[in-house]
Amino acid sequence: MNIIRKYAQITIVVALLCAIVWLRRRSNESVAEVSVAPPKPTPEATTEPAASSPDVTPTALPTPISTPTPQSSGQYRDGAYTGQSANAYYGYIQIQAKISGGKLVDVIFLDHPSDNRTSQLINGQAMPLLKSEALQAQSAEVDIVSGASASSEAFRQSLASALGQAS
Amino acid sequence: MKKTITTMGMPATVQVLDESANPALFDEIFAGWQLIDERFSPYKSTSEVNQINAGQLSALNYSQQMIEIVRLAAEVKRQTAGYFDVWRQGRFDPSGIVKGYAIQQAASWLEAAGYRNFLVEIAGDIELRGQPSTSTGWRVGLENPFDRSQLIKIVELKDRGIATSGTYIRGPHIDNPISGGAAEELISLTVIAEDVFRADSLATAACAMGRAGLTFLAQVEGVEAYAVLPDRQAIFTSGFEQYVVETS
Repeated sequence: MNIIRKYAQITIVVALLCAIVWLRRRSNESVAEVSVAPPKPTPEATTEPAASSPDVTPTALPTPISTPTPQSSGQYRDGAYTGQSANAYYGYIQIQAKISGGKLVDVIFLDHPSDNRTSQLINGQAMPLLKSEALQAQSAEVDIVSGASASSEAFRQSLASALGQAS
Repeated sequence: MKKTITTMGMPATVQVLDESANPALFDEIFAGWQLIDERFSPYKSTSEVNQINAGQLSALNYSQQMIEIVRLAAEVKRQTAGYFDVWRQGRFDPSGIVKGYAIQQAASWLEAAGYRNFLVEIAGDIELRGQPSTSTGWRVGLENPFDRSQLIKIVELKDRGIATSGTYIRGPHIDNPISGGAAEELISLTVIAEDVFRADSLATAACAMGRAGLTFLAQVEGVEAYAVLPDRQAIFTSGFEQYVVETS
């Protein structure tokens, strides 16, 4: 799991770096866009019961959220810019970059791959929580008991019976 | 109305609380299980499973039920990254899911017949629907793998399935299909899921993963688990506590 998380993080960082480089080259043009390379979507194994695959489609075009205002200082035009959805292995990630004072001031994740529980864990959540305790005998009445012993007794009986038939 | 029988070589209980319960319902369910046993028993030489393993039955001639089992097995294998596999060492052995399937079939039949408050159990795996009139759910005890006369946990379940897998009786019989070795790290593993088929198949797969099975289950939506380790400690998913009934 940690490796997957690292790959997702590396993907995002690389995408941001590419975006920054690209922004610098295009700082004099009318619309600055932060975008990440969109690989072709591929079906992934999931831990969810699936009658059909999750329906995930990448956003087709990057769109500026607000009209960039011309400014003379800094290398980027102020505003919020939405990148294309990118395949982060466990789903799609889409970021919005906020430019203020000509500088990149914030990056927001717009599209969490939330259709897959494993992806939720990668995108900033903690590792799955497990707890531990010592065994404690319980004394209350129950309607029924769950355990593995019954099937084993039955297994022994059944095997004995089968072997009896075979001999 | 409650009845306990032996089916597929295992003890089974059906309990229906609805007042409309008809004794004939037991006959229906037990007859259905008898058919499943004849079809899937590895101990019956004429079973469909043995015919498949003997190369005597082409997939084109599988019964509808066998096709369904094969389909379910493929789905579970995918969901568990191969840790559940009905094909082992060249043999087809669906016994890991037939029990859950049989319970599920009986529960579906009872629901279709209009019953709302019942449980169906085979060898410690249970489907629980509705609740007894005096409480908010069925009370299920978890067996202490080190002392079968004791319970180590009590949970209250409504419209859930619960299954327990373990190494504590037959030894490390749940083999790790990925590494090929025996999975000895979990003495017992209880899984609660939305239905018993899911609980059963996940418990079998997770038990084969050893301790990592708990981490796997913690990531599965709608599933909680409680495992007993060889040192008599228990580890459980954080959502498991929602089902626990505290007793003195």
